[in-house]
Amino acid sequence: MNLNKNAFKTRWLPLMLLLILATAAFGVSAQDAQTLTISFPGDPRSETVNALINDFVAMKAEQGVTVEVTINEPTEGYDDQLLLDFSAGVGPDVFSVSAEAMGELVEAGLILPLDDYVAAWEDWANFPSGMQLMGSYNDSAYAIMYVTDTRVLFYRNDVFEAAGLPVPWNPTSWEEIFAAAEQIQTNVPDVIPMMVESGTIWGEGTTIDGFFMLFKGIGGELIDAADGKWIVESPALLESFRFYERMFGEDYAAAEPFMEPEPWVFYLQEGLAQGNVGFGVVVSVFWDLVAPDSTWAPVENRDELIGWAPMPSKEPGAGVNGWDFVGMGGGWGWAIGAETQNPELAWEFLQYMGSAENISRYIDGVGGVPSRSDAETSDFNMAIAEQVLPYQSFRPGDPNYPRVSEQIQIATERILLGEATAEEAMALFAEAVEGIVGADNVKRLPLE
Amino acid sequence: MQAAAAPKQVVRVFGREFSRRRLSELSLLLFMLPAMLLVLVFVFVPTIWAIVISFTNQSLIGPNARNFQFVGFDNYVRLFADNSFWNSLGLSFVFVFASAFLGQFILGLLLAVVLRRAHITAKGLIGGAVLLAWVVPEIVAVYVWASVFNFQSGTANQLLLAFGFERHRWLIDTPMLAIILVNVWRGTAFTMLLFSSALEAIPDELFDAAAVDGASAWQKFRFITVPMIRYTILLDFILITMGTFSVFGLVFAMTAGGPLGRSEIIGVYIYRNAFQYREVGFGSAASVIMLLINLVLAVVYLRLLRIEQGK
Repeated sequence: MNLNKNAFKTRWLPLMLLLILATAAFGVSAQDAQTLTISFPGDPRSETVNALINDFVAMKAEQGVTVEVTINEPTEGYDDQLLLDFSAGVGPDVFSVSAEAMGELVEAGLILPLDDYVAAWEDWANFPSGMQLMGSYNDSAYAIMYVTDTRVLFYRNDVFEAAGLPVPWNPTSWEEIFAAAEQIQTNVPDVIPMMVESGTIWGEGTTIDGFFMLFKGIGGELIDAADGKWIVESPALLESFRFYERMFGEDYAAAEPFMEPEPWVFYLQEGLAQGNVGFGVVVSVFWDLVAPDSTWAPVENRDELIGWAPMPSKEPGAGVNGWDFVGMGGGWGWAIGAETQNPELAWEFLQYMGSAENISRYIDGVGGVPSRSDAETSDFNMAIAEQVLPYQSFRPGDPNYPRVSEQIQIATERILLGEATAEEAMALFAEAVEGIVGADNVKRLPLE
Repeated sequence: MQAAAAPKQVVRVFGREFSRRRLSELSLLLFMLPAMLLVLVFVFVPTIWAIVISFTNQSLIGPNARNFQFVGFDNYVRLFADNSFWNSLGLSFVFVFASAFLGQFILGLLLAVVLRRAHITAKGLIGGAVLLAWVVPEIVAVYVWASVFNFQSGTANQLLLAFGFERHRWLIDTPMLAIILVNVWRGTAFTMLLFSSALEAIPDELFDAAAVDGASAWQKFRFITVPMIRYTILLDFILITMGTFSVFGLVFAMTAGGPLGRSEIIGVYIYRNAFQYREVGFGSAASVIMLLINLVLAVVYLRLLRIEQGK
């Protein structure tokens, strides 16, 4: 044994010491370069964002600063990956964050507040207040939004003409929506008249693209701003669920595809893009996804075949704030990790990505509605910004939101399966949310 | 005796004398070291960590993400009070029994026995077709079957219509049947291969002798084949029950556990809690229960195997 120890000392110890020294020396030499770890959700953003990052590195090199970037760009499960990185202590210096994930990250102390930085940044004024607000939490700025989106009605001009409906279509109430569905069903029986995302398979899309676009159109609030309690029964909830009941009860939408994997293939790629669905409430980026040069669902003569209109409230003036129309927002911004070693470089990167020129480049490459009023964009995005963004609502940033959102999806699934009426679905929803947030944190509004 | 009689061979390494025998033992250990390290780092440590985490309130996000606390058996108490946990456990047993035992095992054995006698072309064709299902990636298999089960235009419903039946809502009314069918389709090849090789090892003379004695096909199977491959049968049971118990991707992509939790096997339940709800501690508790069940099954099987080997 003694011999063994000696052998270790004489032969291995020097070698190990040498190794340690070598790594240390390498570490020192590498410090001349500044490092920046960047995370963002990959495809379909990968190409454009990587090009922007490369240009940033080239720009810094011209200024005599070597920047070494490490890029993480998972396409699937971006939020999970980001959280795992942070909890493992290897969070990025700068990262792309979605508006709905931001609150949680701020609460966890993972994002650097940007108030001092934006106060001294003259470009900040070019972000409309709604966009500044989307990147803020508890009155502090945390992210520079670069893209936003909303939801609108997309419809097929050819189907509408075949059904004898007027084009362009500008409905001002739910009744007009159902009337159009009825007319398509009667006159163009091969086409599924309409689509509002439903069920758990479509996931969060069911909640933000579907449910909220109805719920906000009848003045619905999920959390009472006055006391912070979840509203689990209300006339607005019931009316929203009745919308689904009517849509599936009258067979205006087909229930089965919502229960199959990738329902968007059936309803959007093969449906709306190919004229097998009359109209639907869909995220605004759909316009880019069906562009003639798109790889997702190219539509050769999109501009003649597909039209759009803002989603109306149940009746004019029935929406939140007395609005006639509804928009639901999401969006992405760039944020700085709270534990970055190099906040100055990180902030430079944010300014670079948030410039009018680079936001225009991003929108041009990836699509979406730009977050800056001075960014160059398509006529479609300009029209969206003018006609829909003023009616934009947002989802609650509550930590329990993901679970409550799933209960909304389950409620719509019960209705589409024909296993619950709107009333029953709401009662089960109320029970489930009570179980999630506790009986003390829910309230029920009188149902007239 | 022989070893003692042989002249002791001595090798000098690092100025120290080793016997050849000792050296070969040492080198064996040395060669195993990388593999053992990998097992330690990627299997053993995460398992222990999962057990530790299951006693904490760690979440993926929020104040409990990094400053989590030990909460004793709270997660387990909550788990055992959760109806959807028991639902998922029950569905998992149905899934394992139906798709591993009734499906993969019986079908795989049957195919192996039949193909042993089949014409070489048939053997290649059928064996190849079964094998094809196995080599297709899980997600690809899901999308192939999703199009088979598609309500409007899927192959399954087109067949039903052709025979004068109504369309069936496969993924809505019989989600368990759907995922069991896909898993049988995918997994049968493994059992078939295992038994094919075991059957090859049975000498033909045994069957010839039985034929002379006038044994029927069933008798030959019952009294020659089964006893000769009983060790393989047990081995197959171990591998397919455990493999099926931990299936996740296939079911998650096919039905996501739906509708309304009616196909939510334990893997999907764990994913939902640990990642969708971000409660890693609670999700780990469910994984630990799953681990225990697998462990009990493994012990029972290994016992049986040892009894078999002892014979």
